[in-house]
This record gives sequence, C-alpha cells and structure tokens, in this order.
Amino acid sequence: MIWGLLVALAQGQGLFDGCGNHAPVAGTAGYTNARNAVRTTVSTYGAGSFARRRLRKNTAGVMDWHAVFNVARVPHTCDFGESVYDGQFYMQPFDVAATNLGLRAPIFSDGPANSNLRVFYASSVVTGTTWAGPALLAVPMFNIYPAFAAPVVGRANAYVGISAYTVDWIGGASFRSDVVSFQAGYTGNRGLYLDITQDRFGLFTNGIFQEIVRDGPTPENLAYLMGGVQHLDHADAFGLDDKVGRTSLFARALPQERQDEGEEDAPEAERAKPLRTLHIEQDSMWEKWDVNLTGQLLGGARLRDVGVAFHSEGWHVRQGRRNLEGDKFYVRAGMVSLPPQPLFGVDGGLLPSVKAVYVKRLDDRELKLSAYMNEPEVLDLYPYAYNAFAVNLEMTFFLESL
Amino acid sequence: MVLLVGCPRPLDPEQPCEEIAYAIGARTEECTGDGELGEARVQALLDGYECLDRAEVPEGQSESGGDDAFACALVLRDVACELVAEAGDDLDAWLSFSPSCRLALGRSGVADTGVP
Repeated sequence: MIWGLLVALAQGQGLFDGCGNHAPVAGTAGYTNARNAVRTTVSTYGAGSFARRRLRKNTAGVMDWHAVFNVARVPHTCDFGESVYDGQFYMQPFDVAATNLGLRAPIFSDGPANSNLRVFYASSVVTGTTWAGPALLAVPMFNIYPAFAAPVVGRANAYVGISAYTVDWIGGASFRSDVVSFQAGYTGNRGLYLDITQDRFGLFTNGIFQEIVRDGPTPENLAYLMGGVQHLDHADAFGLDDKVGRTSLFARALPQERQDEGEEDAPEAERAKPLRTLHIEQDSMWEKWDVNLTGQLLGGARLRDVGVAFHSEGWHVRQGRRNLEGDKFYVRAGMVSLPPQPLFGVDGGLLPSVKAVYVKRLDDRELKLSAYMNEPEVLDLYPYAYNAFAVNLEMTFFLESL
Repeated sequence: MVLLVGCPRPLDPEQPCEEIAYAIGARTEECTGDGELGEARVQALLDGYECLDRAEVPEGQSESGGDDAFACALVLRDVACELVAEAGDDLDAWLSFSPSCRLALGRSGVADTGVP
C-alpha cells in the first residue's frame, strides 16, 4: 500500500497534480540550480564536515539521512494527457537527498596521554530528484549501496540532467590524545583530508584539497577549509563558572562551484567564488541556551545569520562529562540574510530560520530526528533553496556503552 | 507536511521574463565579473518590460526551444561575451539577439531602464 502510494507519487499521477511524462527546461535558472545542487563540492564538504562532527571520541558508526524539499523550482514541459499541465509549462519542485555514512574501528587504546588510534571511513552521497515530495523519503534506500561502497563506485557521477547523484568518501586514521588530535585521510577526489584539533582550547583546522597529488594545495583545489576555535569550554580551560558555557570563533571558505554549460568563455576567476564566513557561537550558557552569529566576509560583507537556541540540559556533551541517557531536545529560531544573487535567480532578503531536534540516547546507540527550514548551513550549500523544508534522521553507535 | 514539501504548480506568468532577466544578469556577471552590474540589469529588465502570458508549449514541441516562452532566456544565457560587451546596458540590444524575445515580453510604460 505504502509502496504503491510512493510509486504513484513518483510518477506524479494524481495526488499532487503532477505530470507522468515531463522534461525540465534546460538552461533556465531553476535547471542550473538543480544541476548545481548535486555537485561534487557538496559531497566532499558533506563527507569532510561529517567526519569532523560525527567521527570523534567514542563513535563506532553513524548513518545520517537528509531530505531537503524544494531546493529548486524547475520549469518543465508536460506531455501527458491525464495531467492538468498537459501541453503546458509548469513548475516542478526539485528535492535533494543526502546520505552520510561513518565507520570507525580501534587500532589501539590507552596509550600515553590517554591516546588512541582508530581507522575511519566517511562517505557522502547526494541525489537529486523531481519525484515530488514525500516519495523522496525512499531515496536513502538507493543511497545506502554507494555510501558503503563509495571507493568501488568511485567518483564517477551519474551526472545526466537533473536526476543525478555525486559521491565522495574519505578513508584514513585518527589519533587522539589529551594534547592534540589528528584525522588524516585520502579522499575519493584524489585529495587530502586533514583535521587537527586541540581539545582543551578548542583550536582546530579542517579541510580538503582535491587533486593534491597532481596539483598540490592550490586555491583552485580547495574543496573547503575552516579553522579557529570551536567549543572552548571556559570552565575546563580557565576555571570559570559552568554557566559561561563554550565559545566558538572560526572562519570557513566554501567554494560555491557552478557547472553551467554556458560559461566556457567566462573569465577564469569568476568560475568559483568561495563563500567566506566568520562564525561566532556561545553554547551551553546556563546549560540550556546557545546564541550564534555569522558574518559573510567577502562578496558583499554582511551579517548572514543570527539565532538563539534553547535545549535540554546535557545537549552539548562537554569535555570530560558523560553523554546523558534518555530524551533530549533542541529548538532554534533565527534570521538569515541572503544577498541578491542573479546568477542563482535569488532576489535576496531576510528569511526566518527554525529548527527542532529530538534525540533518544539508549546505552550504546542514539537516534536523532530533525526538521528545519532555512537552516543557515543548507543555504550556504544551496543559496537558492530559500524556504526549503528539510528532515534528517541520524543513527549513531558508540564504541562503549554508557 | 504536504504543504512544506511542495507540489508541482502552474507556471507563474512572470517566470519566463524573470528567466530572461536572470539570463542577462548571469551572463553579465560571468563575462564582466561585476555582480552589481548583473543585478542592475536584472532589475532594469524587470522594471522596464512586461511579460506576455505564454504558458502553453507550442504544438508538436516536447522540449523548450523554438519560439516558446523560454526560448529567449536560453539564447541569452549562452550569448558570447563579445556580444555581452557590445550590448552593454542597452537591453533592447540584448533582446535583439533572438526574435523569440519579442514574443516573451514587451516594453512597459517605464521608458528609463534605470541601468546606470
């Protein structure tokens, strides 16, 4: 029954007034945005940022599914007699499903300065569809195989039209100690992934250079780079009151690669404009409050987003403390300011941003459910996805039980 | 949930004209490196021209092209940088690159395009 409903939705027959035989209008802003939504940079950033965020400390494995609805709106033609759009142009929503997988295995533990060594694997698969709405929730089933077997699938993209997918992966090792922690790995795009973190003062740098073996670390090969201070716990580092919480202050360069067919004779410098941002966050104030502020540094310096979050106690697992068992929640509200971007068909302006997360922690596993709209990080990757609604399901398994 | 995930919807009558404006803006930014100039040309076209409602796909045509509502935008999106420099701020010159442009939009009452 449910499968039949999904198939009906996928074929666009009836429930959502879709068109059973449709074709996108190539070359329009919506079509270009849909093409750009499924690009290698997104997969690479997905794998790298996922490895940093989720494959640290005592994680053994993580599976993470995102569905972002209405990333772009693409003009289509319809040639289907039973559709209300037969013989007409109409707008078809374009959705994206991303699957991230992370696995870690111990090599040794209990070395000097509480050090340990692990090997890890992280992959990211990004799929785009015009399946219309809830049918997108079936896509993660198809993404599981390339997520597990990304080195076999390689970096070959099924990159035809807008129903496309891209894959990237990282295989490497992580060393962790009280003094400093490293993650280093080889990426599917023949690149180098590196993360260096000093936990006590939160100092870190993290990034990926693609094709580093062939070209070296050039700005053109930068998939992304970020660095600064993240989660500096004032109680741990300076002996201040717990209520002060933790401070993050870091910068990030995220190239907004574009893959238009029509830019062969465009100046080289205009082909990739990194989005450079400065992030300031204070979390765990009075254990339950977070605030954040992001500024865009280049390409029209501006305040990019501000937000306030309220969450249950122990939401952020602070240095040297236990991850609490049971139910946890997080709600965030803020505003995002998007600059006008005619290249993307984006008018710009202020957008409300909301996010709600629920976490269930049980012994050695954790389930996380999220729903959000105008999430700043989604808009950094997909600036044309304003007012896009997204859902996320994440399952984590830990090396040790509570 | 259904409202949030979005559904297929009719073409906004303004969409083909917005596509033409975005094509001019995008090509301007790509060829000149000047994003603000691209934005100014987008706004000038939207202010200075009116969109003709042409949601129907011409008979016998299954993909965009020919003389349909999007044909003009598709031509302008790929116009050579030499022609971009030649047309400059003259939007009528841009629209002369394809006969389909005059089928998609017409001049509104505003005479001044506002392009600096």
